[in-house]
Amino acid sequence: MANLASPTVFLAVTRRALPWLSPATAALFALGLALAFAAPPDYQQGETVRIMYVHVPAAWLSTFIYAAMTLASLGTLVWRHPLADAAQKAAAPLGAAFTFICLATGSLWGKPMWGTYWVWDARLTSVLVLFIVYLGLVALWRSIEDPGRAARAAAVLTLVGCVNLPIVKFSVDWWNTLHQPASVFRLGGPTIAPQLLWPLFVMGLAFLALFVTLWLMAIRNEILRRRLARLTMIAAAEGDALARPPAARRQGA
Amino acid sequence: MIAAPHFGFVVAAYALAAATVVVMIVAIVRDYHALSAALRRLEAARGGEDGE
Repeated sequence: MANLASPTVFLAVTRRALPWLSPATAALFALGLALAFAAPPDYQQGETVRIMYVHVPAAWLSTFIYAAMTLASLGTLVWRHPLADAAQKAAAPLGAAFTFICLATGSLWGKPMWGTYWVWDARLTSVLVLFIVYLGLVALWRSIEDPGRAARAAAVLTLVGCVNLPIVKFSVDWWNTLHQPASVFRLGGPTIAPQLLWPLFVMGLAFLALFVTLWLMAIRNEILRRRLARLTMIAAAEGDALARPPAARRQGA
Repeated sequence: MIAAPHFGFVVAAYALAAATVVVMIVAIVRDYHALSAALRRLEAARGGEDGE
């Protein structure tokens, strides 16, 4: 595991893993979508229940990605893991995109089922806050030029923002919400019929595979970006050294 | 299924999710190609200087 901390080893592992991960993700989506559209309609929601197969996995990922970013932040601040800040930076836009899918599909489900696209319900509001925190992290990474300073600032903001994770999870228990309570991961077991639950699990797995694939690709991009920045600085320094007159070069030597 | 009430909302949800996923994939792949090309150019330029 510690060996994976080396960017060179990480790039080699990614080069081997991606040609398998991409088709596996596509196959999982094909299976998940086939099961989702073959599943019976819900007795109350009718066909609208099919929105659940994209909304719920996106919701799971929105919190899972933030939890992964929180661990990466600890890696940056405590252990100074070489890949931790690259992993955190790469995950933020993906987390924002999956949270956007969660909010937008939830809104499209809410209109026919609740009669409105949006309510300031505790679950919806806390997920909106999560989305804003993701956008804030993306903006923070872009606004600070020095990668080390940006990593530390983003790590601190991520750790502060992780307070929102239990609020997202337990908002439906702590407050009276229009959003239904947990129906899959709960102490008494799932309350969803198996015919609807299995397609949901397969779609959840497909979304997870998609995230892992995109995350690895985005971390690889970060490593390449840093390598490019380093080489550009070396080339600039060499260019400066060559541009100086010979006497100045001798003095500098 | 298509004639079911509210099916448009189902189609809109899937289309929006698919569009978001496609945007993510295209952004990451384009970024990778741009970075790889820039690295190749820089390494070729440095190699050229070394050879002079």
